[in-house]
Amino acid sequence: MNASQLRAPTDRAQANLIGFAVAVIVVTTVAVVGVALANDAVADADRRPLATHAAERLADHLVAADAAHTRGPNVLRSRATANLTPAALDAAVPPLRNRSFRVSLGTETVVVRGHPSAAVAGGSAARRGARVTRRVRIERAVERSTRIDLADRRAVTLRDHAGPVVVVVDPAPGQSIATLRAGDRIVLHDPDGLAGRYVVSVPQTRPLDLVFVTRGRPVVVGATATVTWTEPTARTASLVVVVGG
Amino acid sequence: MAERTDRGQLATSLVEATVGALLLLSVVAGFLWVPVGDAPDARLDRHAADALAVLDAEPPAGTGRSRLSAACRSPAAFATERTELAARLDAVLPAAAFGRLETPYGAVGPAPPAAVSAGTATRSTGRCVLSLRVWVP
Amino acid sequence: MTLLTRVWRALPGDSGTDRGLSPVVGKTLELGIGVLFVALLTATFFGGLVPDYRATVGAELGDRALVAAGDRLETAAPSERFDRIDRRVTVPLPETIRGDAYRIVAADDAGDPTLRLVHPHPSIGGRLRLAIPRRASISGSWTSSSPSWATVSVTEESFAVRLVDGGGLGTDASTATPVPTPSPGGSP
Repeated sequence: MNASQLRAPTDRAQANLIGFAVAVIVVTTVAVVGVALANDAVADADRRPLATHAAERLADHLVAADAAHTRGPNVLRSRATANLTPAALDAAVPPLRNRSFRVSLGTETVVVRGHPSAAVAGGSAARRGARVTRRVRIERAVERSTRIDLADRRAVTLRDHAGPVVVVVDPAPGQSIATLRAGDRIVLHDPDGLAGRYVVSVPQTRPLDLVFVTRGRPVVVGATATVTWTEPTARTASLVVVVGG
Repeated sequence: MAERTDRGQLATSLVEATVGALLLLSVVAGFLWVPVGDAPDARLDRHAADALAVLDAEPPAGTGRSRLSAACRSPAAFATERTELAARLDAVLPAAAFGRLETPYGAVGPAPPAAVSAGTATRSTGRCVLSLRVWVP
Repeated sequence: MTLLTRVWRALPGDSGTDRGLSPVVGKTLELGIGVLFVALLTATFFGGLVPDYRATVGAELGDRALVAAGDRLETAAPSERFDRIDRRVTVPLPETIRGDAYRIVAADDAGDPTLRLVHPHPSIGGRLRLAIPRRASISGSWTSSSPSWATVSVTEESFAVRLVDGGGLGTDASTATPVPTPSPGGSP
């Protein structure tokens, strides 16, 4: 009886201490896990507002209808876009100054300054970058030209066209073509006869028929007309803008 | 008798530790379960506006100023453009997004599910009002 | 007396008592370790972690408030050509960041109109360049504790954006006259 009474309190104290130590370890572990989760949550909730603002403004400018390198909203001109420089973009988009950025179409980079996506180890929220994606159409202008002999053919059909059309009429002596009609609109009319080089704006319908109207007058062999227009070849791509701090 | 008291002491400490741990975890869960996300509707609206702008720049299958204006001109013109429109709509929207283009003469694309919020963009040229709804399932 | 007897009996090298400590010492140790642990945890949290979190969240909120105000101004002062604009818009700002009121001040950064956030805490602040036409002149400031407005007046010669603080300006109003578009036509 003495032995058991002696053993019980010390056993209890020892079990107490071990139990307490385990409890301390458990609470510490949970606290550490909680702090790690809190860190992740804070990093996740960081939307990098200033960089996102700059990225959105840059993307807005790149797809703007009235920019120098676009033909319309979300329609980029291939060569003008390839020739964009960081300085030009800085001038057009003030929030972009002093920031690194990269603009890419699909997989190829169009403009880059610095290393925008580089994550700075231990950096503050202000250093990391933001990314904006827009869908755009990139057009490359291909110039096409066709020359017709007005004795056989009076019409040219433009399958797809963009911008003004250049018409050069070479009349035969003693014969005149008075009118050029594009679609249902008369774009050139000269009662004395068309001769020389004309730049005409044509309606937007595609495909477009250009018809030289002779109105019953006989056409002398030797009159020719050359029509030159730009036919855009286009592809759809993703414009990705990444702006760093 | 000694074992019973030993078990009792160990269990008390661990119970206390468990309660403490649960308390900490409940606080952590409080800020983990709050959904964080930037305004998805603004982004979807932008995708819809972009898609309409790109489709408006494409030449039509039939005749017209652009694919969109041809689809909106008359029922016959819409029927001509319809198949190509469905394919192009798919190509023009971002990879994960779905869209439905609604014209006065018909619609192209699947109907959006009720539970998902969708971004919208409209384009009206004269008599014709087109609207495109974009969603991410 | 019984306790002391137990302790004395336990001390002289008994195999059953060699492993353990007496209950008093054990409990005192427990208490001491417990107090130390809580003190350590409290010191770690409130000394380093919590102020860090508050500063990070405060900086993020400050940036977001700045960007929200900037977006509002950019929508009200567009880059497109207008003959004349007269606009008055409310700007919703959070009243406090990290418990303190703050100010947003119009500034100029190498010729670009800028908004600057002024806050008592050193780690909260920031500058936002506005994406508005460069010829715009921006003036005034907002205090977060009072209602904030902005007025935009554009004419041929001037482009003025004013940050107005305080109430009493009424509801939002806007008149904007776009530049007349030239009539389309061909050139012979």
